[in-house]
Parts: sequence; C-alpha cells; structure tokens
Amino acid sequence: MEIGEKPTMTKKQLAKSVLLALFAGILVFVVAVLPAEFGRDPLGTGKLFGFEKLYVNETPGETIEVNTDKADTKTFKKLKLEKLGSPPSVPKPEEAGNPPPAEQFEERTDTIKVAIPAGKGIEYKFKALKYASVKYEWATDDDTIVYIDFHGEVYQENPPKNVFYESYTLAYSNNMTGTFTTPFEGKHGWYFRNESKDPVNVTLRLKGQYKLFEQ
Amino acid sequence: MLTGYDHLLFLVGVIFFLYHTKQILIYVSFFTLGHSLTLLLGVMADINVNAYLIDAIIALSIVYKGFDNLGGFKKFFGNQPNTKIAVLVFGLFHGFGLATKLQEFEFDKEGLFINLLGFNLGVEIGQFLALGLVLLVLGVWRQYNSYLKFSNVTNIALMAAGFLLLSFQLAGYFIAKN
Repeated sequence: MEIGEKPTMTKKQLAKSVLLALFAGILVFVVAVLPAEFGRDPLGTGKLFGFEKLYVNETPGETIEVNTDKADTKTFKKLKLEKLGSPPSVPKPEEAGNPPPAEQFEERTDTIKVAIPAGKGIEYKFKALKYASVKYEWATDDDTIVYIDFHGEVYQENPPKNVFYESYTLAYSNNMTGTFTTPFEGKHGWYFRNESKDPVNVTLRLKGQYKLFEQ
Repeated sequence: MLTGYDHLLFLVGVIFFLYHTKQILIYVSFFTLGHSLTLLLGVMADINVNAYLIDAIIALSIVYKGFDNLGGFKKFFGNQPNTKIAVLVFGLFHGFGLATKLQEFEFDKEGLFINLLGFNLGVEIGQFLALGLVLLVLGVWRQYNSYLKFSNVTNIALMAAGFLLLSFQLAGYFIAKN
C-alpha cells in the first residue's frame, strides 16, 4: 500500500488503541445490543435507556398454543398474499389447462422423513396428475415451528428457466394436515425452511393418488 | 436486504489510505473476485457454513483492517501481511457470508446459476453505489488536515465497530437466537 504521511504510533499507543477499541465495542454490545437483540440485560442499561423495548422474541422451538394473543402473533412475520407463488412476470403454462386423465395414479401411502439443516430450506415433492386426491399430514419431530410453502409446478415437456409455481399455502407451523386435489399435473409438495439453530426432522405422511420421485 | 454494512465497513478500512483511483479499483476488484468466487461456489455446491461464525470472521476482518491501518502489523511483527492477498482472502469469507444469507432465500434449483449471477451483480452495483458515496465523503474530508489528524481515531472506531459486530455474532452463535 502506498501511504503518504500516515501517522504512526508507538507500540504502547497501539496496544492502548486496541484495548480501547475492544472496550468500546464490548461496552456498546453490553449496554445496547444485548438488551435489544437478545433480551438480556446484565447491567440494567436496557431498562434504563429503553433498548429492551426493541427486543422481539423470535425464538421458535417451544410448543405453541393456538391463541389470538397479540404478543404471540408478533413472533413470526406476517405472510402476505403477494408472497404467493412465482413472480407475476412468470406466466402460467398452457399445460395447466390440459384436461384431466381418465385414470389417476394408483392409490398408495407413504411415510417420509425429511431432514432440514439449521437455517436451510428443503423441498419435498411428489408427482400427481390433474385432479388427483391426496391426503397429507406433516409434523416436525420436536415441535419446532418451520416456514412452509406448499406449492405445485405445472408439468411441462420443456420447462423454461423461470419455472411457474403456484403456492397453495404459506404458513409458520409445526404440524398440518389436509386433503388436497391437484389443480394441474405436475410436481406438488412442500418447501420447508428451518429458521432455528438446530436441525429439524419433518415426518410427512401421504395417502392418495400420487407417485414418489426415485430417491 | 439490509445487511452488508459489515462489508462496507471493511471496504472503508481498505480504501482509507488509498488515494489513487487505480489502487482503489485494484483492491476493490480483489475483494469482488474473492467474494464472487465463494458466493457462487457456496450456493452451487450447497456448502453449509454457520452464518454466525462466518459473520464473526467478517467482523474480525474489520478489526484486522483497522489494526493494519494503524500500522499495527509493522510495529508488532516487523512486517505487514500482503494487503492484496489479505483483501482477497477476506473477500472469500465475505462471499461465504453472502452465500449463507442467500441460501435462506433459495427456492428452486432450476435457473439457479443465472439467478446467482444476477444476485451477485446486484450486490456489486449496490456496493459500488455505497462505495461511491463513501469515497465522496472521504474525498471531501481528505482535503482537510483533520483527515490525518483523526485517522487514528477513525481506525480505532473501525476496530471498535469490528469488535462490536464480533461480540454480536458470537452471542448469536452461543445464545440460540434465531
């Protein structure tokens, strides 16, 4: 590096500077960041300066009770209609309008384990024809709440780069079940996102007219 | 996405004593090269690195740069690590940080590479805009004597910010904050 008249310090001054920086960094951390971000207030400064009010508890992993308590709805981001499906710029393929087949896939049942690493998203999909009926049930093994996008992609001979998908349900939950009639032929399934710090296992049960993908 | 202030702080440290446009371009290119490589690699190969630890290393890179700017390496160790290589290496870590953040948004594997290139380009544009602003401010400030007078203070503040981010990330790692 070409440095012009860079001011220099003695070793002692340097050591002091590093300590000063360390002290300042940790001071701000303990006084403001810890109460505001982690809800911990060792010095009582969070209360004193009001930083603690900034704390939003986002820790999933506890069993949630379904209630309408305002405090509880704060825990997760509100899911909006605009988040559904692929962006509006991706057109719905014509194939979505194809007529249903005379016969559906043979009825079957499966129990599938899906492991989702901490902080990651995993997709699990099955194949089904148009208007197939599928019952599903999924739950996380330790009741951790995950984000899900239950969605489907239209079957296409030559899928484009930006694939169209339709979201059936977006939710934060640890368990869900339902009966589903596929709106078109294609891949249908779940995107599970584990926003917690530990891996989560999801057990998925399916019963209906579908096929699994080869493992 | 409101992240990236840590990347910017690091870049502020990098360009603090760079006066020539050509030099700034060289250093920023090294940084860009580093983080583009690991961003692409990290997402394409689905490499799972703990986001808190990566961000802690990024925070450390800010501390390193502040210390380096204060001339600490020369004083304590007699020689300075090659600054271009250091910027490249930290660029690699910054890329992993971006990759980890991006993987949280990841949806479908199809068209991933193109999307990634787009994302990376977006990151670059954002960074260059912000960098331009920083350069503008530094450029004006450089005309005054106070720039050199306060350069030590500024770099100590930079280190302090690095330590703050470091403790923040380590706390995030140890206290299960999701």
